[in-house]
Amino acid sequence: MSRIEEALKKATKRRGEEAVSTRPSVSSSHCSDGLERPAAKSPSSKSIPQEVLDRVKNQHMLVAMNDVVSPAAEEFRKLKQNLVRLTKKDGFQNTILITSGTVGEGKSVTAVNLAISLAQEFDHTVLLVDADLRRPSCGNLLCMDTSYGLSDCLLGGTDISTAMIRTGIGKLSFLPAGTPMANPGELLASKRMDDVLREIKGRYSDRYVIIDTPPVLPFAEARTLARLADMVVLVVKEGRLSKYELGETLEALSGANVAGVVYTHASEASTSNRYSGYAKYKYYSAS
Amino acid sequence: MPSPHSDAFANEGGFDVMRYVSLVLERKGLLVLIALPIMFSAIITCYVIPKKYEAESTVFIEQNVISDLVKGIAITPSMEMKIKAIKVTMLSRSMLLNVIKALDLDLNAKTDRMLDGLIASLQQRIRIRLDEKRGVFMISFADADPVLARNVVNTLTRLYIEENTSTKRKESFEATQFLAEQIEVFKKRIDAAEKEIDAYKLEAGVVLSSNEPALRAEIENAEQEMEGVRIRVNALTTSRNLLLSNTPLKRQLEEQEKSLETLLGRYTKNHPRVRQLEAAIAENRRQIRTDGQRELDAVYRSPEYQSIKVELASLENRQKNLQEEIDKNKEIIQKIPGARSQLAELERKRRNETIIYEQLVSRYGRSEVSKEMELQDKAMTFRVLDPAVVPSAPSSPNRPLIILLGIVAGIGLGVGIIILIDLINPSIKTLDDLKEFGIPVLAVVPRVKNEESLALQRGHNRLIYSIGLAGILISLSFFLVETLHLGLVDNVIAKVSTFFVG
Repeated sequence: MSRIEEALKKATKRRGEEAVSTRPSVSSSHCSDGLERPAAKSPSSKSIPQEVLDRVKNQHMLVAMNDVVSPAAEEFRKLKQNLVRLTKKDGFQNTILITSGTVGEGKSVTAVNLAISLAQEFDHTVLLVDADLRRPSCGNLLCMDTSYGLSDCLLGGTDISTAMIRTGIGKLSFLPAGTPMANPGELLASKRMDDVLREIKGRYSDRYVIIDTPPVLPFAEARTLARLADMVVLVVKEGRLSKYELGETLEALSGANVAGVVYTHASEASTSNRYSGYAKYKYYSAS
Repeated sequence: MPSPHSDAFANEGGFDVMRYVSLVLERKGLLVLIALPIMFSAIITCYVIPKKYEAESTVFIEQNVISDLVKGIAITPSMEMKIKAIKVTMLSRSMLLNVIKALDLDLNAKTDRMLDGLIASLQQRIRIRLDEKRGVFMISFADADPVLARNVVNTLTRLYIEENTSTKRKESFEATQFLAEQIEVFKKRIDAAEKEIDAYKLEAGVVLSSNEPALRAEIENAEQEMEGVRIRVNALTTSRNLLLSNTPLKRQLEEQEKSLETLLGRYTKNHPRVRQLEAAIAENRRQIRTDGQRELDAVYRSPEYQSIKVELASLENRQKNLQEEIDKNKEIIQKIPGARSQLAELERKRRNETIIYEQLVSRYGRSEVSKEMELQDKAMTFRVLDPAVVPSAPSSPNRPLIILLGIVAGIGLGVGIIILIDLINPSIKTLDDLKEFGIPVLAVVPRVKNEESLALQRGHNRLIYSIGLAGILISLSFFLVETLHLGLVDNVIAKVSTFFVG
């Protein structure tokens, strides 16, 4: 525990950023194998402390960090670039809501990887909010302790900043979901949540806020939150949603600004042609 | 550097096929799950289906040299007709009944119904193929018992050839007999027709023999003569009347009457001369009345009158004869056409009968030759080229084919079901499905694989591949065993069954 804390402090000192959180909330127990690693720095991790890399190295879903040359990481970078372009087009619309039609389509993975991607390659400040109070999973992906978070703040009326955690990955901060609850619909639809979101959105003008939400079709939360966010990115998993359900999802999000779709779990069959094209693109962008 | 997008959409046409190929590869587990049971059930099926042995004999239809020599003289039944008859005759109930009796197949058939079933089953299973070009026909029969199969084929062939020979002879004999009978009948008819003609000729001989122009000339002559005779008669009658009226008293009366007329022209009636003359006339008339007959008799007796009378009588006779002749000749002329046509009709009838008769006689001669040929078996013979032998290998089931079909059907059905599932699955499966909604696709994230799950997947794949490969190899090995007729499986089955029975 102290090792991570120290690493965080060191990173903070080096970059000279303001301290977001001093709460000892980062735990590495369930992700790290506890082995000491030599402090050899990979080219992609020059801005990330070794402790953080060690902590998440077994989390294979974090392709934006652990496997930066993979096609998936490349796709997340592409998503990031598309979104940056979109958000800068009309003022600065920084609140991006990630949702999907049903469960298990890859919302959290997309949200986390997008956040990391944003925080890594651009000098953006990024806040990742896990608003999926039913099944919070961003914390697991980041290998962080998520015992205190959004739900606690909303219920307890405490300031959001007390729950925010510095991840150590660039300027990426993380607001965990907090204590899981059975029926968070009212909580998220409350005036308080509205205020919280506005506050997060307005506090730093150049900060990206990425909100991970529950799925649209079974639950109501995402529909409420989508109207508060600047844009919505819909995650669609191959072979999961029917066309009819996708139509329903889009209808449910009709008030929101749906920026586009992230097509996940794409099989070789449906993407092979695309990849043959994008392989060159990857090479081009990497050089 | 080419644009990535042009590359991405260049081969969109082949996209679907490639998609299905990788879809099938992805669902290989399901494919194996469907294909293997079908393959194995095909293998089991081909061993469960009872074996059938097929025996076949080939019969050559031999045309003898004689039949070419006697072509046109003797009548030989045509090849086509015979071949057509073969099938019908062979599968006839009586023929099959004979086969059944000869082979004692009816031991188990206790009722008529069972016997009928047996015959129907034979009818269905006996196959007769004709090869007209080679002039052979093949009889084959399949049964679980190879010996029985051979026996049925051979017995049927033998019985058919026997029966065929005897019927041919009978037919030939009957044909000759029939011709002989017909010849007799027609001979009688010709005789009758000739008799009729003779009778008619006898009856209408004069009419038939007379010459029409000659008759007409004769009539004309007779008519001319008639005219002459009539003139002569008229002359004679006049001279006879003249004779009769020229008696002296009548002449005197005539003169007196003439004088009276002259006198009356000159004088009145009361003139004395007129009165005197009138008195004289009256006297004369009285005298004629009294003495007239006497005077006439004198005339009659005169030779002049007598010759005229004789001549008149002969002329009248002549006239009558001439009239009779004319009438007779006219009647004959009227009858001639009718008589001739009737004769022609009779003769035609006789001619027709004669033609048929002659044909019959000539056919009879040919049929005699045919009969002799049939009796000596010199027209056409059936020769058994290949008698049926006990078949060593079963003809059915075609095990290699069934196994091969099982492999093909299994894989085909598997692929089909996978594609069907994909087709009926309404979920979004390709980017094209997303394009319908008109939302921009920001990123396409492939499946993120970690090493563990990848390894697990590889192990899984390896398992599936090896199971599938093993299945196909097993199927193929059965296929090979059956193609080479090694009989390994049959031996094993036989051993196992004896073990269990024992």
